[in-house]
Amino acid sequence: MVKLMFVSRTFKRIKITVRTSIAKPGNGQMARGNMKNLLLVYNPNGGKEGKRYLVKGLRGVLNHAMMELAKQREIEVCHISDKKTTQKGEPLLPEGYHLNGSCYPEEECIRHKLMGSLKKQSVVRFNPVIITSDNIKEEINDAQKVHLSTEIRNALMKDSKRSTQDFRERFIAGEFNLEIELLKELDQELLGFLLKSILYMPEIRWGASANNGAGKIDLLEVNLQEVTRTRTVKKGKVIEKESEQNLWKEMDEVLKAWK
Amino acid sequence: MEIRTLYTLTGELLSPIIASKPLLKKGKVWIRIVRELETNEKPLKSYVGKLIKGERKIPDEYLAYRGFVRVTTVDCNETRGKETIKQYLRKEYLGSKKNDGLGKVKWLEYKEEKYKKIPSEPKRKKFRIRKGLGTNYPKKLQRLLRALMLHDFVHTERHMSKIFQEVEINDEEIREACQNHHVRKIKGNNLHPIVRYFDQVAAYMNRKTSYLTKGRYDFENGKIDFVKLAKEIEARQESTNKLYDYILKSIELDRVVVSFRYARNSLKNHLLLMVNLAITSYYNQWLKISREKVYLVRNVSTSIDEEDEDLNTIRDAEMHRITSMSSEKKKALT
Repeated sequence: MVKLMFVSRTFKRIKITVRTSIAKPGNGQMARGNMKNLLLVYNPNGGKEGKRYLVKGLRGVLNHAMMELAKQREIEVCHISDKKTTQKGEPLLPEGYHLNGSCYPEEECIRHKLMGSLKKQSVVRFNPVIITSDNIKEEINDAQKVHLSTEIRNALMKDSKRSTQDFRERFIAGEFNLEIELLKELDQELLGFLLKSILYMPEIRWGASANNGAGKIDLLEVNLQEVTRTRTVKKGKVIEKESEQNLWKEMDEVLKAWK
Repeated sequence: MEIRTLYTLTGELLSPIIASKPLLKKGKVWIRIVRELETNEKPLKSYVGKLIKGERKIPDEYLAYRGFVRVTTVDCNETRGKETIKQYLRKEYLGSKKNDGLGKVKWLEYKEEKYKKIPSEPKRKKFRIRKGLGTNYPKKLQRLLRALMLHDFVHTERHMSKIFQEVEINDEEIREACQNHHVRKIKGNNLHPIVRYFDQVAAYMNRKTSYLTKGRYDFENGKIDFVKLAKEIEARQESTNKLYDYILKSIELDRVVVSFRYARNSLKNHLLLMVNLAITSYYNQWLKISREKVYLVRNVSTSIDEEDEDLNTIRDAEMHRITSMSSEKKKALT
């Protein structure tokens, strides 16, 4: 039974350690109608503390970083939108880009090869970044601890004291790990472009209130790794093991390959 | 005999899974999403998507579930059954939007057990409206059925005849029961409580969603000759089978509404339902026939009132219909 129930997978991934002083990736349900909340994943304890949230928007940051980087090098890539104009006729597509997926399959651009579109699946998979409040003293494996808090945006009129602004925004601060799995073996050019786009990510702001100082990210570590993950069943319980190996040499070569 | 085994793989959802329903079937495999593994409660919902000015809009809105996932398959072949489970053990993500990190699963347990088929509940016989009555019923029951079919074609203190034209009923007891079917009690009439009871039951069964109307029938699709209709019913009042056949095939009665508040229910359906309810209750021995009378075994409550509509609105609506009718019909009604 043990032999039969054994699976393993070997793949490459990029592990990034990110730090943010303040970011507002609120994309959850609107609690009480006036709070932009984070996306709740589950609540293991059932109480107020210990709620697990899913951080969203990191894939979008990488998308924009790729676009900006390609524009600097005068390479035409896919825009994030697949529409030319809005319903009112305002142009959506800036110069130097083409519509998302329009290059496929004849002259597929480098961004489309990596990120895909509705026409083709992406070769890059973002692992979910699940966070929880750092108020929890216990050691946990299923989530990363960051500072979680709420900013109250309230403004009153001078004379009548009526509120002109009354809403709340959840924000996060601290360090967390982001893992990007590569679903295919990529050539050096593609991998180089992906790594350089990751290095360009701090130039793009993440989440809401970007012009008010929120959403700045700092990259602390970027590692290219080869991971072997195995799963077996012993006495009915599933046991998962993971071994990783850093690929420093390959990473240096790859960074030189794409200019 | 082949021994079938149930293979179960359970896991915890680390991120919400995007799925249209919490129970999915992929080939021979059932995937059920639950809130907790022990209780099998329905999973919690969360709406995933891109937030644009506080709202999620299609196509950026997805329904997702969070909790636990249970993958089950039943197979008589051991290697084949384990191979299907192995395919899922190899997977780390389920559902759509996997590349954004949604639907991540952490597998927890694997179980094999002998499959026991849960015996399904015996199917209940579906209630159907008969396409003809025949002549095999007892005469007292046939008389009751006639009373049921005629009860809405006479003026009562609550409403006037639903075809505006009163049918002259020859049988005195039937006429009395029909004319007073909104009165709670009458002495010396055996048919009255039964007519009243089946009227209430049939009305209750049909009334699900209200739909208001001001007209008794759809006069846009042509006028109905109610005088002729009343005469046709009058001519068949002595034969139960003929009267039932006439109501069953009548197009006019299908256009007439039974109530102004529930305008999607036709008078034809109401009458046929009443008759069929009475026959089924006779076969189930809820309705019995003795030497003297027909009677209901169960107690009939007199507190429930079938017509819970406002009397004034009914009168106004019916008077409105009368004013738009021809002068001959007005005379006939007054």
